[in-house]
Amino acid sequence: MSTAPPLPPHWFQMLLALADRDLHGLGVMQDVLERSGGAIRLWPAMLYRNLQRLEREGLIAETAGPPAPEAGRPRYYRLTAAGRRACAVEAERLAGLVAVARTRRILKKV
Amino acid sequence: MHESSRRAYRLLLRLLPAGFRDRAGAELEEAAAACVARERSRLGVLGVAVGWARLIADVVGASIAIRRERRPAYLPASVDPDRLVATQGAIEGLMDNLVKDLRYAIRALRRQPGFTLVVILTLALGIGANTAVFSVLDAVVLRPLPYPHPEQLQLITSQFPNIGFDQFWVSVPEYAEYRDNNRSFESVGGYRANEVNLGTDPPTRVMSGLVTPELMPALGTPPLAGRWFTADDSVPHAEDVAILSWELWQRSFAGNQSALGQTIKVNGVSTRVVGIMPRGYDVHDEKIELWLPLTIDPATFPRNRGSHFLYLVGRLKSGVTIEQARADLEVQLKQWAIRVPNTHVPNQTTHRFRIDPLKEDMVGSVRRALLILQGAVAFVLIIACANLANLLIARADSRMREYALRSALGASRTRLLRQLLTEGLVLSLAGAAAGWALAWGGLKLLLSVNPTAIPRSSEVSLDWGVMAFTLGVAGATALIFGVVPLLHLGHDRVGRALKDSGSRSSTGSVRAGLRSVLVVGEVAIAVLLVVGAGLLIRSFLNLMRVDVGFNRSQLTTFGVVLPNASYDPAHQAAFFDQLTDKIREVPGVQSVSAMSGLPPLRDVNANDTDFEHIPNNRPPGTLPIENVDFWQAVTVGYAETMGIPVVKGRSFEARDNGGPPVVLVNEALVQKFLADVDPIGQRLQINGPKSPYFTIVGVLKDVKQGGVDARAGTELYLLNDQLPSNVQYAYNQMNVVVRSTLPLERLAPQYRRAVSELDPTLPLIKLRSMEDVIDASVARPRFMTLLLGIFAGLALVLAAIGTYGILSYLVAERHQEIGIRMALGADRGEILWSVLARGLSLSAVGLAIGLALSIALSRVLRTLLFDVAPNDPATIVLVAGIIATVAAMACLVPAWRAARVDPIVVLRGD
Repeated sequence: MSTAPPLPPHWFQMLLALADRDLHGLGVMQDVLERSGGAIRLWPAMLYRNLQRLEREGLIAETAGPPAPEAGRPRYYRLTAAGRRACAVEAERLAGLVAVARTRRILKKV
Repeated sequence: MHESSRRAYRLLLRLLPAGFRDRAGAELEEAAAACVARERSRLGVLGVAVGWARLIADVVGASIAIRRERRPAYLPASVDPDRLVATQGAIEGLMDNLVKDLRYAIRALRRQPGFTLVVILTLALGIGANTAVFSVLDAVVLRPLPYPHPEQLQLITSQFPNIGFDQFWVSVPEYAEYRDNNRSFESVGGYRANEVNLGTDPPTRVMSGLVTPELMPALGTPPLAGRWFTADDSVPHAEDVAILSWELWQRSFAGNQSALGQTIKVNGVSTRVVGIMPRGYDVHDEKIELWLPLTIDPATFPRNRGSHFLYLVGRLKSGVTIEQARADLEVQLKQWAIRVPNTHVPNQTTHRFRIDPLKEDMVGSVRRALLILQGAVAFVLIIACANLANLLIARADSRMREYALRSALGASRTRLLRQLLTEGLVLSLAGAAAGWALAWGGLKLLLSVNPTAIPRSSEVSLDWGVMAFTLGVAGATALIFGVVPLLHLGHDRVGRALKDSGSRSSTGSVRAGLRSVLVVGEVAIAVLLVVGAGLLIRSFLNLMRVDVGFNRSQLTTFGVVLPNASYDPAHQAAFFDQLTDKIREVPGVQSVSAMSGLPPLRDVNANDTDFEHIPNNRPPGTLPIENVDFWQAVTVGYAETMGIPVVKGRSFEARDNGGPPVVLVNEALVQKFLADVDPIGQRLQINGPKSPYFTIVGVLKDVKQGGVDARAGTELYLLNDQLPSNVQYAYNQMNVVVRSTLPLERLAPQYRRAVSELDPTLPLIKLRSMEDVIDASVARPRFMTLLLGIFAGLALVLAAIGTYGILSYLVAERHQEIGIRMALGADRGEILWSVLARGLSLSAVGLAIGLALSIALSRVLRTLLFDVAPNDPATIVLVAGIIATVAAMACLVPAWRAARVDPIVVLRGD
């Protein structure tokens, strides 16, 4: 287990959205929404502010993205190595917690 | 998202720091659109509102977070922007709860559509009527006049106590003298409202204001374009110039700036447009569309001293009060005769001036009427709220078990409370929305039916102030909704409600008492309003029954104005003789005449008239003052056409045209000036000591000229045809009145043809039936009577519904008891009577209180009544009868239902 402070849950969600493909902001929003079954609803201004912060922290980076026909196309983001590591650490931390829940019989074993 | 929503969101995004916005703006917009769509699919129509609320919270939150982030690091950790995200989650939870409450409330209300509809309608009526009347009250009475510092504006008029004129015009020399010598006013202007012909081919009639150069500066509102009049515009032989109102500018020039400098035809004279006033600009609600400078010729002052035709508007110097201005006026009146050596100057006794606040003068007469209406609708709202309170008590009772169950299942009391408040909120907002729509429609209708009944009516609109007022009323009602049912949700009651197997035996005496108070109060208020309406209706009927002095049926009328530029006096007189001759030949026309003034409501002329038999050397101030209230210039056939009986002597005849000067008088004139002599053969002068004498040849019955509710004044009739040769003028503005059995629409084309054959450039003015003329003269009392009648009817219906509802509920509550009593041998008549007696006794108490109240309060109506005492016994007895009947009907249905209770069903059911 890492001693790093836990990743804020919405950051974790956003990083997860970028794990297997590059997305623009709206894509991140929709991925999080779908994956959480509509429970986590992100709102535009905060979403973009957090994307900006993630970028500044070096967890994600702007990327060229797929070629698009129109000029004013949105900015795409990809997960950086650091981002992938942070995401993994958080997943590990959560997995650890889940394991504890299993041993204490909160959850049934798979 | 709609384009306008996008624009709104872009506006919202301005809260964000510019750098951030520039980088993400377009994408934010897309995301926001997606969010609103998402919320909509999740929550339905409500979702749009929720989505927007969240978008606003989101942008505000992000803006704060980003700005804080830029602050130096030594700031406390409590400003960690990420905490804001958590706060947002909490907000989201709250919003979701609110949505849940709203949906639950809507579902609950939908399950009882009857209840919901009655509540919303009742509220809508109460709120709608209040909003509509408040809109009028606000625009007319409360709002200041639309000028800069309107409180400084005063209306200055003259008074002639001996002749009985309390508020009269001022002559030009008097105006100039007062303007120059007073020490209270920054500026004093004068005006005269007058209709003119505008344009040619065909010309239209517009209201013009003939003003002195000081009037517009005194009012203070700057022109939208161009300029005010200057002193140069009012000197004799100055270029003819005009200023357009915004409305006329829009109509005639489609709001084109090039109107300035263009030439228009005013009464056939080319006139250059030098200014345009802003929208709604007016003086004293005269509805002036065209402003013209009054030509002032100092050379003719002495001759015009007696020609009173101006109203003056003065702007007080800053810091000067109206009391100081009045004190200064007394000084001026005292010094006037010393300064101007003339017999006809204002003085402190017989020829005074008066100063009144401009707004007070405009709206003073309707203030009371509007306040009474506002009071009436407030009472209607009180009754409506009483009914609602009662409905909600009943509903809360019937849902007691539901609440008890939910509370037993763990719903907290605050949760239930919130639920009730939400239901109240939904109901009152729906009521407010419906009420607002009702007010909007009602106001439109009101103003279109009766544009002349109230001053400043063009300023009336439903505005934000009124909207706030509506919401205030709705909010107060919501509070009542929330609080009243809660009185019944004490904790002990919840438990008891569960234990009670649904029976209604737990009626507290407090609640029964509250219900009785509601019935008594509603009935009392309804009585008060119905008595008020009854008095006004009686008064209005009296007005309509007044003998106006002429036979009003089968008369039609229109006006013609001959421009002075193209007609000299002889031609003016000849024109009306020819016109009446032409119309007399139209098949179906029995008789026709032209007259300068149209009864029953016209401006007083108050002309000095010199009776030969009254000596001229009497000491000043001796009564009667030789002044006649109304001069009426007519053509031959006047008395015959109007159906006015000749009391003595004869009427004008064809031979009088071109004959020796003759005059007719009315009975009131005979009584005042000729009581001791035989009026026939007496002579009088109308144009000073050197003018020819007119001989009285007949006395006509009095005709109302100053309004049907006023006493007929003294009146003398001149033959228009005789005027040019004897006094060198004629009336160029005449009303043609025609007696015919044909309808107006058949006659109108004939009138138009007759006029255009004589002069195709002349428009017909105010073509209508004489009944319409009389109706228009009683527009304000009709307006008042109609509205108060509607409100009283509303109050009566609401009170009846309330009484019915409360009694029905009492019967339902006592269902079991009644069944048992019947099983024990009580007969149906007894049961019926017991319920009826309960309702009727409550109504009787309400009736008694209401009558006492109305006797105490009806005095406020006194000034609005005509020929009816405020405590008119007949009205009170009639109202008592109506209320008793309605109350009996409202009580009979529940009583009858009680008597039909089947004891077997009741006993088995428990």
